[in-house]
Amino acid sequence: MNRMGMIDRGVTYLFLTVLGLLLAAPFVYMISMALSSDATSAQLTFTFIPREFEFGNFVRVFTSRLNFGRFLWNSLILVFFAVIGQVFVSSLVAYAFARLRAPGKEVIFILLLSTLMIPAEVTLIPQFVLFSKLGWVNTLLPIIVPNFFGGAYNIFLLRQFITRIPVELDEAAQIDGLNYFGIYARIIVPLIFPALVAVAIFTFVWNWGAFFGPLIYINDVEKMPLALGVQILSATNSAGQIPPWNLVMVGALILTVPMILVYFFGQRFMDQFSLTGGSVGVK
Amino acid sequence: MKLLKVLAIAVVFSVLIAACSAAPVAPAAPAADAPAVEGQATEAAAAGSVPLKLSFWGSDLDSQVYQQRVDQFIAQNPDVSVELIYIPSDYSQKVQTMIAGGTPPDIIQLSEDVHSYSSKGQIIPLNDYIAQDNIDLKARYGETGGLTTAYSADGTLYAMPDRGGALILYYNKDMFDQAGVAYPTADWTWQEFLDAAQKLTVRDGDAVTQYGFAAGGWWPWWMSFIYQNGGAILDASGKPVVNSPEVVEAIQFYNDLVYKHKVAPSPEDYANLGTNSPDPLFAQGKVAMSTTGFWGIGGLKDATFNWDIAPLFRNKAPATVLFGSGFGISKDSKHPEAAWKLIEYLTSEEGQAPIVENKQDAPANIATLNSDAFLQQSWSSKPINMAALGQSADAAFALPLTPKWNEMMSIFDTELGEVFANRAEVQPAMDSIQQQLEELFAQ
Amino acid sequence: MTRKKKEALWFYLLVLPWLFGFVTLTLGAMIYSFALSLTNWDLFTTPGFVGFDNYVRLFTKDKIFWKAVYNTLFYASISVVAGMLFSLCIGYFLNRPVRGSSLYRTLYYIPATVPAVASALLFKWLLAPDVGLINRFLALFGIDGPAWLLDPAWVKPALILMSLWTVGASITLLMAGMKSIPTEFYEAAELDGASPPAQYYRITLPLLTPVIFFNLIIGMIGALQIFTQIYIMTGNGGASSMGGPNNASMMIVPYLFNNGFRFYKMGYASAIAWILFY
Repeated sequence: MNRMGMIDRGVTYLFLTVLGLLLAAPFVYMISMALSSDATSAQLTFTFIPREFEFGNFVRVFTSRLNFGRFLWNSLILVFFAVIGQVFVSSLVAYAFARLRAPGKEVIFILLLSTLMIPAEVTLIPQFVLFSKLGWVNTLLPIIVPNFFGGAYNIFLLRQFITRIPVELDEAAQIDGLNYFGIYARIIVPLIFPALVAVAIFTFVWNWGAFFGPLIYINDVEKMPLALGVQILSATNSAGQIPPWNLVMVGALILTVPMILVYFFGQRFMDQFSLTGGSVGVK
Repeated sequence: MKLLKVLAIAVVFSVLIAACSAAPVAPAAPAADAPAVEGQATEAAAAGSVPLKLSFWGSDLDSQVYQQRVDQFIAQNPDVSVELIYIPSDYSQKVQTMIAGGTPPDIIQLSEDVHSYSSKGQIIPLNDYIAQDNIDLKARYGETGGLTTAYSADGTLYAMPDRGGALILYYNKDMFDQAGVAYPTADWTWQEFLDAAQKLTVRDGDAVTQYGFAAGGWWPWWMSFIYQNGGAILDASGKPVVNSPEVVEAIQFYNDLVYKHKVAPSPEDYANLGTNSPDPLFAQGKVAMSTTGFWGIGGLKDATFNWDIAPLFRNKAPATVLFGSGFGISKDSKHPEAAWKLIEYLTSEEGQAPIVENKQDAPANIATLNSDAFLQQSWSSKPINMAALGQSADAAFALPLTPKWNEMMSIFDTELGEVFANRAEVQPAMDSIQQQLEELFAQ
Repeated sequence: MTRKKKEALWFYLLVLPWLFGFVTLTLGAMIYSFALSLTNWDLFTTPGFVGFDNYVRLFTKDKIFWKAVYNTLFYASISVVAGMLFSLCIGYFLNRPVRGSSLYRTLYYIPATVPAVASALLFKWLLAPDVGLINRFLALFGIDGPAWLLDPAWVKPALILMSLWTVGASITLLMAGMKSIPTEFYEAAELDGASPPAQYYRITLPLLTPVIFFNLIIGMIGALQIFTQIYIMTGNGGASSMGGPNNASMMIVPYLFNNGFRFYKMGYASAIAWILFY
């Protein structure tokens, strides 16, 4: 396993490097487009290797009329509340399923699992009707609020984590006079903290680039999150102008960078939270 | 005691949830009755006890011009405040969701899909207001009434035309001079148009470096050819007639410009040029002739070449698309009177002036359209043949507006998309559209 | 109050948010959706009861719907399976004792972090017929690339190609799984004289089966709901167009979107959703 022949080694590195270049190429092109001048953008004479370095583009998108600052702010609000809701509620519900005994619990748990099988399409139209009747159209509420009902998937995974915590800890705390919420807050949360971070990361990733929900619910440019705003920028044809592709790609990059950061800083949490519950391969 | 605690936690919970869910909206979403948002109509907003919302689509320029016009109105009517809702894409879908959500704009900018609103009773008839204010539509929109016919159903008017202007032919004079081709006129036949386009197309080997003409899949482009050839989309009784010989011949001619004569860009060429519109290509001097609305002029302010406009050519008859947009009032508007007042102002000469000042578009008001301010605007090149607009208006055919406009266009887009990509023959495609339209209207 | 009762009360209290969401947004929504599917509601006028007309129409007349179903299944199955084979192949090399393995992993993962909107806008460009990076690259080898998004025969392959760009996500999961395989297994195999590919095939893959299976399921669920790419990449600028050319890339969710939110056929859209459910 530790020794590799010359040819073997050569093939491996060649494969990995060529593949890396292929996968990186579109990303490089994106950066190159983002750094292009308006003239290049209007004439569509982009180059693969950046030739121009218009870093001012990154400032301009915040100062121009299509206000990226506004989009960014909307995105942050959306993601912030989605994460809070999802982490808090999912873990509480998971705790209840993992630890508390109640009549009907099994049935409810089966219901919970069964929602994983329901395709989102089925509830799309009625949810839209419901939210619009509530007057939530053109607000972020239809996208944020469902997170405060917890996600079946997150609940399921967190429950797995909690069941692995020795029950003796709970019992000891109970003797110390903690109620169930106290046990959750003082005992469970610290112990599943990495898993909570992972849930937060998943929720962030899921909502940061969200497009479909905002597309349906948000009308006003002022209220759009970044992903929709960037798309709008590419779709709006001012008279006689090609969409400012360089600025569109700036938007695409701004949309991507937080995702990369989250990957770098969150990787260890996500690895730990490896999706089958941490025990892959050998049972 | 324990129960109390449980209750307390429950309360905290619900408050938390309520607070969290309410928080993000507070800064962003003015309720229906709130005054206009920051930055819009600021001074007047303080006094604005009658809040109105107006939705519109378009570009940055459009957004600025609407703001200016509305501000003018507010200066005279400080009791009104207006929130402008700028919806740059998927416009009608967005407006419909607002209506469904019970928060419709009071005033809705409308266009070809006006009757998908009117047929559902979402916008109110304007006849009473017009009678009440003694508005003479002929005085305002010309003898033919301009778009008021298209915006009416069964004698009831649902939208006041605001911006107008027909599909006109833009041509690059320098290219015409260079190729020694006479400038286009309203008397041009298809043959003359084709001859000119061929002479104006410049090739470098197989690659076209300058197109004689450019159009594409957008409905006004191909539809005007259909009507020029004596064809129609719907007959007088509203039945589809899109597989008639006239229509097939027109689409064939239109498509031949791209694939047989190779004087116009194909969808593939467009994809390579990063746009799906001929407007920027004309502005960049890559195309000798293109047809578009008057708003195309906005993109030519800084053109470095000489250009002009002319009415469209003809085959059996002159025909062009008179498009534009108008304003309707939502049936759920709490202030229909004020909304009407604003619409009346926006379509008056004074309210239309900024459209001209900012070179945004052609105004719908006939007096503004015939005003010196409009006819003698200074463009980068020499004086422009503004009379072409008036001439074109007379040649406009009645648009086949139906409540099922969106679905109808979806069918056209799909089938004609194949034709325009040179993957389908015209006759079978039109037969298929005919059949699908018959089904659609039978539903 | 007894301990038992109290515990049960707590349980229900804590589960309440989810239960509430379930009853309103899932269960209630489904019932409502079914009721809607029996009407011709357009979101505004009074809904009319039409029985099973919507379903009959879907099954007998609506060719585009079946095309959308076919396209979606085609896209989802091929992109997911190809993605899995691809990442297993990469996983083999990454699992060799190479230096900088984590660097490679990172490099491969970055595309997977790009949000769909951003990658769709980017790939619209990359896939342009002549000036697109991909066809320019192919031209280096003398290959005249297809028109991708503009060609009914190539639009789905183009979308699948694009999905392969994000293969890094499943590689990461596979690698995490591989790490947890005890080295003793390999040592034993080596003593038996098994070559690295044989080890990979006989030890790694079988032990990874749960991860692979899980990945396939998650991948399918995601791929079946493809929307953003279609919305951004396959419209031709018209107000109602998406899923072109000739509906060759029309998928289920975009079709649902068209019917529900562009044509306002809420009843019909609900019927579509229900057929998919079965």
